[in-house]
Amino acid sequence: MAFIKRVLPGTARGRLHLGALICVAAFLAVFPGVSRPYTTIFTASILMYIILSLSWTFFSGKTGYISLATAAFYGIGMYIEAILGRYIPLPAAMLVAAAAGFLIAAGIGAITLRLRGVYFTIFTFGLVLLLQNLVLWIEIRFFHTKGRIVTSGDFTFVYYCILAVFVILLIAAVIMRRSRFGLALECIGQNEDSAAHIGVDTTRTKILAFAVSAAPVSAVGAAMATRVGYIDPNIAFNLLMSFMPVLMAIFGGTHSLYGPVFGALVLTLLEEKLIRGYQEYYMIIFGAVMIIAVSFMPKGAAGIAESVFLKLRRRLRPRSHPRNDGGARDE
Amino acid sequence: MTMVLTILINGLVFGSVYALLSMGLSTQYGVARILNIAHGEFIVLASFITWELVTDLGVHPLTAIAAAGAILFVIGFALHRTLFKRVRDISPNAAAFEGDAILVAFGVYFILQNLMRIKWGSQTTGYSFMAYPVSIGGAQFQARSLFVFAFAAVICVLYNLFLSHTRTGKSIRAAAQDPVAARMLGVKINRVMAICFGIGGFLAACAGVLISMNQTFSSVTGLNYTVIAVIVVVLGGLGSIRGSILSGFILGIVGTAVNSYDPSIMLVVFYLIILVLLIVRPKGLLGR
Amino acid sequence: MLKRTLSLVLAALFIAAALAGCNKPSSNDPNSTPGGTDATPPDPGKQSIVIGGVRSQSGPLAIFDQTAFGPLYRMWADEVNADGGIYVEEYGKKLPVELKIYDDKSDVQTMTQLYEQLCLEEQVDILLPPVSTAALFAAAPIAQKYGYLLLSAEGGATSLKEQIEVCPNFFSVLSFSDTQVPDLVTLCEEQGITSAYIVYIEDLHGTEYFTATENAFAAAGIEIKAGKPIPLDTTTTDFNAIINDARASGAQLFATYVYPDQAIPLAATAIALEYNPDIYLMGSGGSFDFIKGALAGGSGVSPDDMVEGMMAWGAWNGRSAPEAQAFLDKFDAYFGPDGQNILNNPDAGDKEVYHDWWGHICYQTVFEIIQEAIEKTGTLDNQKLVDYIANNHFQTSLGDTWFENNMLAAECYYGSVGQWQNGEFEVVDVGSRRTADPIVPKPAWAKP
Repeated sequence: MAFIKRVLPGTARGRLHLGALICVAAFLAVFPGVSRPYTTIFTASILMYIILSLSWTFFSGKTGYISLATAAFYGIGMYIEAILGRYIPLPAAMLVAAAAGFLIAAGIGAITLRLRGVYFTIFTFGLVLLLQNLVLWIEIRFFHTKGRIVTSGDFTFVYYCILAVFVILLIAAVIMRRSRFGLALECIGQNEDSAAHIGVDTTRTKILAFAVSAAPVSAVGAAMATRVGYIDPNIAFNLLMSFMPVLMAIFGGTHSLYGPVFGALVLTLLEEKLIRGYQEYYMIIFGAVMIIAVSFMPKGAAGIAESVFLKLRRRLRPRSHPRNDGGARDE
Repeated sequence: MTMVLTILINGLVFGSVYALLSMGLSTQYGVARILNIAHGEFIVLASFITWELVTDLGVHPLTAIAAAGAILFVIGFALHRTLFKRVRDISPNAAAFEGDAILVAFGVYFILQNLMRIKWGSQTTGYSFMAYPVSIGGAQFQARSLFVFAFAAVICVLYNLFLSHTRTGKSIRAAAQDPVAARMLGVKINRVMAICFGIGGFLAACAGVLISMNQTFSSVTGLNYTVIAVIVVVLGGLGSIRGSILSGFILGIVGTAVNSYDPSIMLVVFYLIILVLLIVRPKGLLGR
Repeated sequence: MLKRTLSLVLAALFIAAALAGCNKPSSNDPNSTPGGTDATPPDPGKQSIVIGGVRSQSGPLAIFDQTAFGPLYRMWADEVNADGGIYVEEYGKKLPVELKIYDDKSDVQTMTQLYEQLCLEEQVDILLPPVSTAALFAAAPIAQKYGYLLLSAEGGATSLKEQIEVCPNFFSVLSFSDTQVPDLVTLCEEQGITSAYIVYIEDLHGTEYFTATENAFAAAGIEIKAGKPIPLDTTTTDFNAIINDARASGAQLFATYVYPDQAIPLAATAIALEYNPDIYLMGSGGSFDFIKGALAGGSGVSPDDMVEGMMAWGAWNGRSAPEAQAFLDKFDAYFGPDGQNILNNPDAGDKEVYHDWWGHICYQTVFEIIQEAIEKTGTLDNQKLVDYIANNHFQTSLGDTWFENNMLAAECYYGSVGQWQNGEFEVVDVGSRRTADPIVPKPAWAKP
C-alpha cells in the first residue's frame, strides 16, 4: 500500500494525467477489435517506434550519452525469436530477448561507459556493424546459410505483445521518474562530476540505465521478427533502426515522456505518407528534419508547445499564479 | 617470402589510404570537436567529381584534386560557419555539443548521400587508370596502387609540414591543444574551426581522388569509409593527426594479413582491436 | 504538472486523430477475405486491374529496380494499355492495368509492412515481386496468408524450396544454382578443365552457388584449389591478395560468385595484374551490358574488346529462338536500340536501359504467364490463377514454359553459361542451346 501511495501522483492534476493514460491504454487495448486489419499492423509499427524512442530517451536523453546501439538490441531480439520461435511462445521469447538485451547492454556499458561520451557513441555505432558481420560470419561458416525463416505470427497477437511492452515501459518510466535511480540519472545528465561528488555511483547508475533501456528494444525486436517472417543479419542489424528513434526523440523533445511519443507518432505518419510518391526525397527530408530538430528545437516539439502554452497563459492570466512559472521551469 | 612482401607492400598501400581517409576526420575532430559522420560522403563526392572529369574531359585524375579540393573546402568551411557554429552556440556544454554535432553530421550524411544517389544512381562506378602490373621481388603489384601509395604519402608529409611550419597550421595546433588559451593568444577560434572543417573537406577530396584511381565506388559506399576512418582515428587517439597516420598504417598491414587468411572477418577483427583498445588504453596510441 | 497534463492531452488527441484518420469507414466488407479469393461476385464497375508491388527504388538495391525487373514492368504496362488492356471474362471487357509501386528503401521490414498494406488496405488484384532473395523469403508467406499469387523476379535460391512447401502460391522464375551449376560442369568437362579457384560472397547467393559447385565438382573430379569468401562490404578487401593467390594456385577456372559491386573491382584487379585464367566466370552482373563500360571506362580499350572471352551466368540472345528475337526487338523498340553503358552516361534519360542477358527474358515471362493465366481463366481470382499456373504450359518469350514444383523447369531456359564474344553475349552451354563455340582459353586482356 505504501508503495502504491508513493508511486501514485498526489495532486489532482496528477490523477487526471493518470486517468487519461489509462483511457489511452484502454482505447489501444480494444482498438484491434474495431479497426481494419492494416490499421492494427500500422499502429503496432507506431507503438514499436514509440517504444524504441522512449527507451532511447530513457538513457540517452537523460544522461547525454548518445547511443546508436538501438539496432543492435533490436536485432538481438529478432535473432532470439528466429532461434527460439519454434519451441516457445512469443511472450516467452520476448522475455528471453529482454534478458539477453539487458545482459549484453550491461557488458557493453561496463566497457564503454567509463569513457567520454564520444567513445560511447562511436562504439555503439560500431556495435551494430560488428554484430552484423559477426552473425553473418557465424551463420555462413557454421550453418551454411544466411537467413532464417521466422514462424510468422498473427498480427493482432503481435500487436498485443507490443502494446504490453509499451504499457510496462510507461509504468516503469513513471515509477523511475520519482525514484532515487531516476534522480541520480538526471544528476548525471546535468553534471556528471558533481553527481559523483554528492555520492552517486555514476558508472554503475549509467550501466544499469543503459541495460534497462535495452531490454524493451530487444523484446520488441522479437515481436517484430514474427511479422517480417524472414531475417538475415542485414535485415536484423539495420542502421536505420538506430537513427530513427534518435531522430524521433529529438524531434519530439527529450525532456518529457511525451516528447518521444509525439515524435515517433508524427514521424511514422510522415514516413507513411512520404514513402508513396516522394520516396526519392524521403531520406533527404529525414536528414533535414534531423538538422533542424537539433539546431533549432533544442527542447523538441514538446518544448515549443510548452513555451507557446506558457506565453498564452501568461497573456490570459497575468501574474495570477507566479508559483506555477517556477514549477514549470523546475520540470 | 613473396607472401610477406606482398602483404607488406599491399598493407602499405591500404595503410596510406586509411591514413589519408582519417587525417581529415582527425583534423575536424581535433579542433572543432565534431565527429563528422558525413566524411565518407565527402570522399565519394570527390570520387564522382574525378570520374566526371576523367571520363568527360579525359584529364589526368590527379588534376581533379584542384577542382574537388576547392569545392569540398568551401563546402566544409560553409557547413561549419552556418550549421555547426549555430549548434555550438545553443549547446549548454562541450559534451552536449559533441553529441548534437554527431547528430547534425548524420543529417548532412543523409542529405548528401541521397543527393548523390539522385544525381549518379547507386551502381558501382569506376574508371581504368594505370591498369598494368609491376613486379617487385617476384611478386606482382598493381601500378596504380603503388602510384596511390606514393601520392598519399606525399600528401601526409605535406600536411604535417603545413601544420608545423605555417602560421595557419600553428594556430590550428594551438586551438587543438587548448582553445581557451589559443583565444587569449589572439587566435580567432571560430575562423580556425571553420578553416579546419574546410581542410577536413579538402583532405577528404584528396582521399576521394586517390580512391577513385584504385577502387570502384558508388553513392552508397560513403559510410564504409567513415567507419574505417573512425576506427583509425580512435586507434590513433581522437584528434591526433600523427596518431591517425600511424594507426592507418598499422591497420593497413594487419588488415592485409587478415585478408590473405579470410577477407570476410576483416571488420570483425578491426572492431575487436578497438574493443581491446577501449579496455586497455582508451586514449588511443598517441592520444593525449 | 500543468505542462504534463497539456502534453498528455496533446498526445492523446494526436493518437486519436491519427487512428481516426487511419480508420476511415471502408466500402469493402470487412469480413470478406482480402485479395483475389473474394467470394463476392465481380464488381461490374471495375475500371482497371491494379498491379501492386513493393520495389527498392532507393537504397543499395535500387540498381536492380533500375536495370533488372523495373524496366520490364513499365514496358509491359505500357504495352498492355496501348492494346486497351487485358480481356477478363468475368467482367466481360478489357481492363487496363494500373501500377501501384511502393518503395521499401531496400529495407525488408518496410517491405513486409507495405505488402500487408497492398493486400489488406489497397486490395490490389495482382502482386509483383520484391527485390532480392531475402525479400522473396519474407514476401512469400505474406502472399500466401492473404491468398495472392506471387511470381519471383530478382533472386532465387535452393533454400527457397523450403519456403515453397509452406507457400504453394509462390513460383520461382529466375534460374539459380540448381539449374546453372550442372551446365557449368558439363562445359568444364568438355573443355578439359580440371581445377578451379572460387571467390564467393558471404550471402545466400554466394554460399549456395559455392556449395552446389563444391558438390558437383567433387562428383566430376574437378579440383577446387580454394574457395574464398568475401564480405558484402568490400571497402577493406584486398583483391590483390585474392588474384595473386588464384594465380599461384594455377587453377584453370576462376569464378566469382558475387554481385556487380564486387565482380567489377575483382575483374579490374585481374586486368591490372594481368591475371588471365583459361575460363574467367564473372558470376552475377557479368550478363549486363553495362559491365563492358564499367571495366573499359577511361582505359582507351573499346568496351567490347575489354570483356572479350569473359564468361558469366545467363544466358540468352536473339539467336536462341525466334521468341527471344521477338522479345529483343520489342525491348529495343521501347528502350532504344543502343545498349550503351549506363555508367558512362549518367545523364541518360530513364528510358535508356541496358540488356541483361540472364534475367530480362525470365522476368518478361512473369508478365506473359500472368497475362495468359488471366485470359485463359477469365478471372482475377488469385487462387484460380495459382491452380492454372501450377498445372499448365505457357507460350512465352522462353518458348514452351512450365513450372515443376513451383520452380520454372530447367528445360525452359535458353542457357546457363554465356561468354562475351565480339560484344555479343553468346550461350556456350554444351548441346543444342549453344549459339557459339566457347573460346577457351580466354584471350589475353585487351590493351589500349
